[in-house]
Amino acid sequence: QTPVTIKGRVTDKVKGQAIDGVTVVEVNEKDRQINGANTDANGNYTIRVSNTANRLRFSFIGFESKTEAIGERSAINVQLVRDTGQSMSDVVVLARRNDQVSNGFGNTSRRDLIGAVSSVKGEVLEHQPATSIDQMLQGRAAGVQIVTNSGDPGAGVDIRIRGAGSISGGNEPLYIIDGVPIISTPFDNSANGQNSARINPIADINPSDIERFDILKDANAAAIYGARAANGVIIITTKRGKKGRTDITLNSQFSMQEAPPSIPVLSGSEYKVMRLEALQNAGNINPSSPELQPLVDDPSYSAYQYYQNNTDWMKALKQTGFAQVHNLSVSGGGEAMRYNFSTSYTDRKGSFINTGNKRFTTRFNLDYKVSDKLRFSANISFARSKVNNHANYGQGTVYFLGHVRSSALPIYDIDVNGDPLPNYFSLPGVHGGMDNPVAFANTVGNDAYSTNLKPNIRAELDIIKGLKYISNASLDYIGENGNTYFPPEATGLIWNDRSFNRVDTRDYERMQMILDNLLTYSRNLTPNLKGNFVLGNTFNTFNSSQLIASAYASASGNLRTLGTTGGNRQLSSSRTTETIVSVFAKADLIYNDRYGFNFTVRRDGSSKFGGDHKYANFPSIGGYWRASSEPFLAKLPFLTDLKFRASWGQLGNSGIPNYAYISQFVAGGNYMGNNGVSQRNPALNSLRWETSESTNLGMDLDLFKSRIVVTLDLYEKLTKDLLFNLPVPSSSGVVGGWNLSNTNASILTNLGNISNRGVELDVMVNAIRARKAGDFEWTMSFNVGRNINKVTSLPGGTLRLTENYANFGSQVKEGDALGTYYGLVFKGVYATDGDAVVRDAKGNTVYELDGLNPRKMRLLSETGDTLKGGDAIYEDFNNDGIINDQDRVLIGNANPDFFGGFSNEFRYKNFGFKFFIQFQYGNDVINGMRYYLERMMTPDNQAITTMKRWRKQGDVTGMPRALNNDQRNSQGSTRWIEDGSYARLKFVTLNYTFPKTWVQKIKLKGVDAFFTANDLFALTSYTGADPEISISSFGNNPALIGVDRGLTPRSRGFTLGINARF
Amino acid sequence: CKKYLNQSPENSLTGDDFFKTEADANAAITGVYDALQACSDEFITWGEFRADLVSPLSNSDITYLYYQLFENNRVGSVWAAPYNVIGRANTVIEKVPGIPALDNRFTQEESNAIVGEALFLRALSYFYLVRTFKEVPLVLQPPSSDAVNFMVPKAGADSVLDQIEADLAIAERDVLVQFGKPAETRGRVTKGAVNALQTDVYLWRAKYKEAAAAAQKVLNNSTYALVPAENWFNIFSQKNATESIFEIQYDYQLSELNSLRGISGAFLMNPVLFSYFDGEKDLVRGLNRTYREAGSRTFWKYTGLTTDNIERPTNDPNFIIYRLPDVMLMCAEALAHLGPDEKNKAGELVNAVRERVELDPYDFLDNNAPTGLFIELIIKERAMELAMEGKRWFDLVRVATNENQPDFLISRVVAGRTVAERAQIRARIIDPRGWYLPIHRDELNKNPRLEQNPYYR
Repeated sequence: QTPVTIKGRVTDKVKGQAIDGVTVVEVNEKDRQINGANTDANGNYTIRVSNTANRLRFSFIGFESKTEAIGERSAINVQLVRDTGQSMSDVVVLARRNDQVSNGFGNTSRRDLIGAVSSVKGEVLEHQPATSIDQMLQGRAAGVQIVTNSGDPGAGVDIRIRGAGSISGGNEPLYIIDGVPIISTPFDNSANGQNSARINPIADINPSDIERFDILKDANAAAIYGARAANGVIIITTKRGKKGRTDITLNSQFSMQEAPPSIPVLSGSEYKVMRLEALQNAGNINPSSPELQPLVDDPSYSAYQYYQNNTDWMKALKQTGFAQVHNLSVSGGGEAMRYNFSTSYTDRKGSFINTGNKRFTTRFNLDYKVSDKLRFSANISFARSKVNNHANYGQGTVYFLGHVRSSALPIYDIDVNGDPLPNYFSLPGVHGGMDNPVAFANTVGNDAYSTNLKPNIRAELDIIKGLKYISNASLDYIGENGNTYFPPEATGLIWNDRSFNRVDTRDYERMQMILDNLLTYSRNLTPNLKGNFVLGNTFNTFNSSQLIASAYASASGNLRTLGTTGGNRQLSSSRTTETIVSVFAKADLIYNDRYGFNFTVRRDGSSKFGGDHKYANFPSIGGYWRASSEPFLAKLPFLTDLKFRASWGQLGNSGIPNYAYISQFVAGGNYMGNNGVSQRNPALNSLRWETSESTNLGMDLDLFKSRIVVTLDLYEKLTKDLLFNLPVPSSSGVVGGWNLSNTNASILTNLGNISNRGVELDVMVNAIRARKAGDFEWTMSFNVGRNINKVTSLPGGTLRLTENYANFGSQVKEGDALGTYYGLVFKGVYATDGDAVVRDAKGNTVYELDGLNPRKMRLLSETGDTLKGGDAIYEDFNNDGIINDQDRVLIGNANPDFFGGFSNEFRYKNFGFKFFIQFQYGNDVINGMRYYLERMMTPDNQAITTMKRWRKQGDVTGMPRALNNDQRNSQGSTRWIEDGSYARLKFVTLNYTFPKTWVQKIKLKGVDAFFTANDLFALTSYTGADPEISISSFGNNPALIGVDRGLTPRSRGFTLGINARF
Repeated sequence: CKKYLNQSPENSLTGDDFFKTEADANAAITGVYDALQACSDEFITWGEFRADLVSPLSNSDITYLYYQLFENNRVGSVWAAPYNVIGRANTVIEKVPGIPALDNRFTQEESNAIVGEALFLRALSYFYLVRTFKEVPLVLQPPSSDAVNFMVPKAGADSVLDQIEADLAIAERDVLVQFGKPAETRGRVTKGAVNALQTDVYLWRAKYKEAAAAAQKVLNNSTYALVPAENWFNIFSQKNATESIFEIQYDYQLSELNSLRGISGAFLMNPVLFSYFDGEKDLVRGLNRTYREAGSRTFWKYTGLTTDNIERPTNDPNFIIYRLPDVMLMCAEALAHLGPDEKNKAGELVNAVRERVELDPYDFLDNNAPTGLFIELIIKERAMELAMEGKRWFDLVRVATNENQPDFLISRVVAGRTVAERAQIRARIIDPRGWYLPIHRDELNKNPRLEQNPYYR
């Protein structure tokens, strides 16, 4: 039959107005869609139909669909009727029931889910100006603790899904985008790497491309990812084209971010008084000594003019941040082919001068149906970004430096008369380097560029009914190029210093290639028994290479490449390869929508392990029972759904460096010009996978047709054979990696168990439901998770770790949680010298052997410093008169008692309003910023709170005396520990959808605008700038988490955005 | 599949690939010397800074040694560097003997010589450790795999010293007398170096006959000859002098550096040493040689290139472990404890050292002189000859222990402090157990089988 063209007009039955954007589809007798078109602004449409026996279906959101037979007609005008409230909610419920949860290798309907999965849909996150996709999830899923590292643009996040289960194997989840695992961590995670500008690969993904997140929390849900899934899996599904309708969307956002709050510090003159006291208290009373000269006001001193200033370093360093984000997407398609194309540009200016990032992304998702049996899809994404950072090379963050630099010193040089000079002031050595952070910020170049390419191609072939073969090939490429340059204005170095005009260049490249082959079989085995089977394998090759070069003494500050440098050139490069091979099988059986059962097993082989430990098996089993389908409950009218779930499974973790098990000998050490070779690490023949075994009990409850939806999960996750970098005594001769010195030597080993037990609750309440479109509607959702972390077994009971922060020696102890702090108990300040005497258990003064003089309290040993008036009082638990390791007790725990989020959304007519609160409760924080700003023992400037310090005998205060270069008052103690609980109003958003009639006049399909304020305020008793403290461990130390190290605090931000659809 | 999963590193050799050829053996022993280069800080800290010849500048962070104030977290207690030498030496001792069977160009003698060098370097490291900490873990197995027990408890001082003697006996048999390159004869282990260390070890254990016999072998060795007086300073400035037996080599042109130049600048010479030079009018070793007057008396041995004011451009002086006068004086000290003939010989040796630097000989040092007087003068001579070479503290501990005169050490160290500090310093070293350092806290944390030294428990 020859095609026929049909024309017509679609109008609103009640109002008589034309409706724009109505989808008009030709459907055949099997209700399959053949062809489609849309109405224009006047409601007119034109469609070519292949067969007049077919029918036309007219559908539009907010209206009931209508189907018309074509017959002999060439013009078909249709009137659509608005949906009533009732049918709207039916649509919602239906949509929810059919909600598909992605496990990366395929979808499961939420109704049949057995494992623990939290899902977050893209639309929930709309209007939320997050800098990267991982930040968007904060507080959205129960049991998923997400803490952003800092307020800097592009900063990474720490994610703990059901607590930290590993010590040295990493705790970050696996990210899967559209079925493909991606590289998600920055290239160089070492302390040194963190000093340079670096790329967070997750931040290169455009948040607007996201359709939904599914967070797989237990072993059953994540079983199919076996060896890589011990820390949970975050599945990201990007938007795909929809049939029959072309959408062009343009959206722009403009944000400003207030400069970060600073902590008040001493003025120039107050600083000098404090320093003078500190030095005099330490016994330096000679006014002509080099330390005291700048502090006593002596105009004859040669550098006198440099110490007469009152500089607010923070003010000079910080700025109001500004960001703009533009996003364009085009999506649509017909029966055979659908597409979604998007491109975005982001430009952010950071909260500190000369910081920021830029990002350009493009994504193209294509689905092509070749025939009824064969389908292809391709997802290609590309991103290019640039990050500008401060180079701080171990000196601390710019936020920290801005506080501790002496306020008496100037930013710009001054002559003897006190008149300003144009160049930066530099007096190297006052603070041990980087004396002028403003000069550093403005003159040091520290940037990195990344190129990110992720093509992924998938073919699906139906072999026979129900049997499908799927092949998936993908590549993830990240190239990163970084440059750092230190001009003399920043370093204060002169031309003959080795470190003068230093140039650093680095080139990193990482590539992951994955090939998956899957066979799935899905059919009804009996009328009541549905079966779904998957058999698959995957090959994963991961290549990584780096080239690092540095050199010194370029001839001029404008020559910043290696070729222009004079001396001390250093080069290094390396390449590594990791390979993983896996096979897996999965079976799902569902009986009568009432009982579900699944079984998964995956076997992994990894190049990271040797000998007998190369392969490991990860099984999982689970089931559900839908109580609400039982006859005795089916009668209850309010009970829409009630389901109980139980599962058990094992997952693996292999987050260790490549080749770790192989004994390696490296060149490096020379003697008399001869090249030496020595052992870098012992052979680790017993190194094996870390296994996490989890058990989950869950309940899904749906009341009053989804008015109230509750998900409750109880879990236990036991991590066995922990991968741990065990420090070994230097007497062993084992060295600490590439530097070949054994001062901090360690070997990777499997030891001990950690358990995480907890409960998660997710509640969604549709409090007020709209009867019809435009009515008032109120939805709220609430989630809370409680996790108890405990080291359940550890050979030897206690591991003492060398790395420490702020005098907190740290340890991992059997029975404690990871992140337990030990230290002294601070009880105030001795008012007089006479108070600092030893007392026995009854409180009586203890005398020296002569029986006359009271014994004095001492620090660390019996020959250690005596405590005096103005020194900190520490609890002497064993009454031996010596404050030492025996007096260190458990004083804090970095793990929160519970955490979660609470969001509310209101809609009325064209307005929408939502707010979101994120909270955590009961965690302790080491306030490292306060430690550095109140210890008064170095030339660092101090917080204004130190004005209350002890100054003379008899002073009663909680702030000890200033004491230069003396550890007496800066011991790791309860003095620095604070409650880190907080509830933060994360987002408040008002959005407005412009009326259709108005929009149609300017030839658009729709326009809406929003205004969002983020981080408006936090309810907390924490005294630092920001209670949201990174939970990544300090250095390599699992015991030191929750340390406020002076990363950029979050500040209030405001965003205005507009969306236009064409 | 198996092949796909077997990946090996490109940037390094795997344990299975190494120790196959002569070149591997040479590279491995060079690695041991490389570790030794990192020890000069420890050797000078342990041997010099606690004693009485030097005082730190007030603003330096190494004053705790001067104050004898040893908490268990002081950097002075870090023993990682010598144990690094021991670990690498253990690898050589285990693996190199297998190479001749694989590489026919590599003879058994060559293999033995390399193993001998490693045995000496291991012995030398243990000797520094045992003198500094007294009881230390005796590790003789290389850290080749995780099946090795890394948590080794302390061994008694005597068993460590017995091991040192046994290692040196093998080394003495196998190492070369000289190397092809003159600098390597001073910079690598030779028979002379082994004999010098044997002298030191036997003397430390008060085995005077054996000490004298070992020293005699050095004195008979034609490789070593005293440098004439006018060239005394060149021993340091020009390196590898004829009297040098073993010195750790550094060269800034090869980027092999240390911190001796900087560290010696952070110390002043004490009045006691100045009074020795001044009292004897020692022009060969005193002003502008051992020290310089530039506002204060700083050390010039490692700093200067000439006896004028020309400084070394960078941190690359050699650190001398043994040179001939050291062995001569050790020999004299040993002989002074033996019979009358040996005492005569001891007097001759002391006088030979003095005459070389144009000082008057002691004509009263003969078989009638009491041993105590010998020791008194030998230790003084050692102070003048070997100041800042990391010998003084060990000299004081050795004499005070072997002669059973704690006050020999205590009074000297106390006298090297200001009047106000003396009572406190005396209290801190009055117990001879306090002459040995505490084991560092980090080591105790990492090794639960390690016990803190008695004085610090």
